[in-house]
Order: sequence, then structure tokens, then C-alpha cells
Amino acid sequence: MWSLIAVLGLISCSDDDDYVDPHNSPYLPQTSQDKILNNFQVAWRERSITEYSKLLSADYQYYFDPATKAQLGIDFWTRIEDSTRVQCLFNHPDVTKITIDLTWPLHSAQSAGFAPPRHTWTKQFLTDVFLDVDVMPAGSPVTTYRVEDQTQRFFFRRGRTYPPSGPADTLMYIVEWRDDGSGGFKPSTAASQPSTWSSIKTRSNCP
Amino acid sequence: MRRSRSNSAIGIALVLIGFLAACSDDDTDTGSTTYLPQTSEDNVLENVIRSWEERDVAAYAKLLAADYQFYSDPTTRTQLGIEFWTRTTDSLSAEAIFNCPAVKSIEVDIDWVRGSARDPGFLDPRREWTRIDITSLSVEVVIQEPGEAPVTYRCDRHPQAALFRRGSRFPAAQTDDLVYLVEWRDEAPEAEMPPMTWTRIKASKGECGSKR
Repeated sequence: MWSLIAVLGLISCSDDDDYVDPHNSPYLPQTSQDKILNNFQVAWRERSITEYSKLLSADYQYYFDPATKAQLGIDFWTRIEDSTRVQCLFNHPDVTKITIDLTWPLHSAQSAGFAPPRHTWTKQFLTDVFLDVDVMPAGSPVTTYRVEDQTQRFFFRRGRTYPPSGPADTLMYIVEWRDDGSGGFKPSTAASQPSTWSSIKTRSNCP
Repeated sequence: MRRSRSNSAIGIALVLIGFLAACSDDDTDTGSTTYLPQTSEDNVLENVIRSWEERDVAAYAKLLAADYQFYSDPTTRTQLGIEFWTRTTDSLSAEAIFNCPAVKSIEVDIDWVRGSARDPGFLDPRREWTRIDITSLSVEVVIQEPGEAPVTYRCDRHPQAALFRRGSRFPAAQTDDLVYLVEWRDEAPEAEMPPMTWTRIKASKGECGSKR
């Protein structure tokens, strides 16, 4: 996946619009869906809640996979709820490692006929997700919660708010993330516990 | 709070009464008195049932906001690649079913808890949205081509989510205080070999398109 980032970096170098941070930050300008997904992945890998929450619009919603939704009895989290829980996950001392590898067709974002007020929305789907979250409570062995071969659906919009808060509010944001949570679970092994992204997020109680 | 077939029968009877009333009246009454005022989420759902059973696309389309989206069930979304339909696509699909000569009957049975519409915490621009969890949707469409045995398309007791907003557009016009469906989510459970879902029934368009 780092090669993908490198490729994106090279593409960026060939385009005046795609300015790359001179300090070689792995975070790309928030100007396209592909770059947001890149930043999203890096933020999870680096456990950076600041970079992660930068990607979410003010009215962002995170929709749980159907099983988690049924368990929780709620449909979605708002930006605040999602960021808070992800921050707990990132900062939790028992979480020893996060491995993430996302796959999506580059430049595949499309506007699918949204009507106002969603007419500026686009969507792009992660066709394959690999996420390992290693959790090791004190005195216990490591348990790896694994999300594998599952689809995630992302919806994007230009402008942190709708309507945009001003002429400068032109960056792109994730406005909805829907965890399909589908696909067959891989057989459980001694080392890994099949999971969904939603269940990993909801598991992350702050210490 | 199950809405039984007998309630559907009452609905049909009301439709017939409305139709007879219309026939006995020289005015251009279209029988629209069979529909409830579009002032609450419950009334909108009731009108969805009635418009489908009356095969009345004009009445059905009136219930859909300008930016309405019908989200496919997960299996159909994966297999057919349909994420959602817009108001136009959905209305045209419904119209194709309603007007298809081969469609012999349509029965719709929706169960929900009356007065259960809630605000689940949407933020702007969806702040005014409300939601009803439909515990069970059953739809039965009987299709019979000439000289062939009838085929019944049936989706049976699938959960759905209906989301509503006051005003056909956002922001709403000052004069538009009606309640509209702004999203419908077919939450039929995922399956490898899925039973018929409402999404698939709609997508079939009564199969009129393939037979002509």
C-alpha cells in the first residue's frame, strides 16, 4: 500500500494542482476522493485522530454494519461520536498495533445522480478491506480483531458544511461511511478473531 | 401493531367506495379522498400502501421528495450494482408495474408502530429528517402473461427504513409544509440466494419491458 502512496505522490508531482507537502508528509491535499482515502488509511496506520477527523464533514454519519446496528439499536454515529470512539481506539493502551490495507479502484468516484441538497455528493467504494487490530490487555495474550474481504461505502462532498460555510470551504470531505460488513468471515484462527469495522469501533471503550 | 390483510381489504374497500363515489358524481372527482392528508409520517406510509394497491403512480409520486432516494437491499446492490434510485427512476419503475397488463394484482402489507417516527440525531442539512423503522414489509405481485400460468413475486416480512422530511425540497418552500419520503432503505437481510425483495420487484417492472 505504501507503493500506492508513492504512486499518488508521483502523480501529484506531475500536476500543479496536486501540491505535496514539502516536508514529505504522507497526508495529501484533501482535494479528491482518492487522496482522502489515502489520508484515511495513513491516519489509521499512524493512529492520528487529528488527521482522521479532518476528513469528516460537519454532518458526517457513520452507518454500522447490519449486525452491529441490530445489536446497538442505532443506525449511525455522528462526527463527534465517531471521532470520540476512534480516538479511544487509537489511544487505548491495550491496542498494540493497527495494520490496515485498503483497496479501491483509483479514480472510480462517481456522482450517481444525487439531487439537491446532495447533488454535490460522490461515492467511492472500498472493494477490499484488510484491517487487523491487535489488542493485548495486561497479562493476557494478544487477540487480533480482523476485518477482511468486506466492502465499505464512502460518500464525499466538497465543503465541510452544506451549504459551504464560505468561498474557502472547497476541500473534500467524507460525508457518509457505510460499513457493509458483508462477505463471508474467514475461518477463525487461534490468533485472529473475525470482525467488522463497526464492531471494532464499538468495542473501543476508553480506559 | 400488525397491519393485517383485513386492513388491506378495508383499504381496497375504501378505494372501491371512492371509485363508486367518483363514478356517481358528474364532477371530475378522481377518488383522491381515499388518500390521507400528507401531514404525518404515518399518513405517508398509509398512502404508500393505498397508492400501490390502487396502482396510482401520481399518488405515489406525490409522496416522494424531489431528492428522494430508494436504497436497494444489500444483495441486489451487490448483484445488480444498483446503489439507489432517484425519485424519477423509482416512480418510473412503479409506473411500469402499475401499468403492466400482465400484472394482475398487487398487495402491500406494511407493519410499523404508529406514532413511532423519531429524530435519530441528524445534523444539518438533514436536521429535520425523521425516521420510521418498518418492522415488516410484504408485497405480492401476481403476473400472468396470456396463456401462461400466473407467477407471484413475493417479498415477505422484510425490514425497511423510511425517512421523512417536511418539504419536497431542501430548504423547504414556505408554502410546502407537507411530509415527504426523502429516503427509503430496503433492509432485506443479505443472502446468497435471496428471496424476492421490494427492490427486485421494483426492478422487474412487472417484466413488461422484457416481454415487449
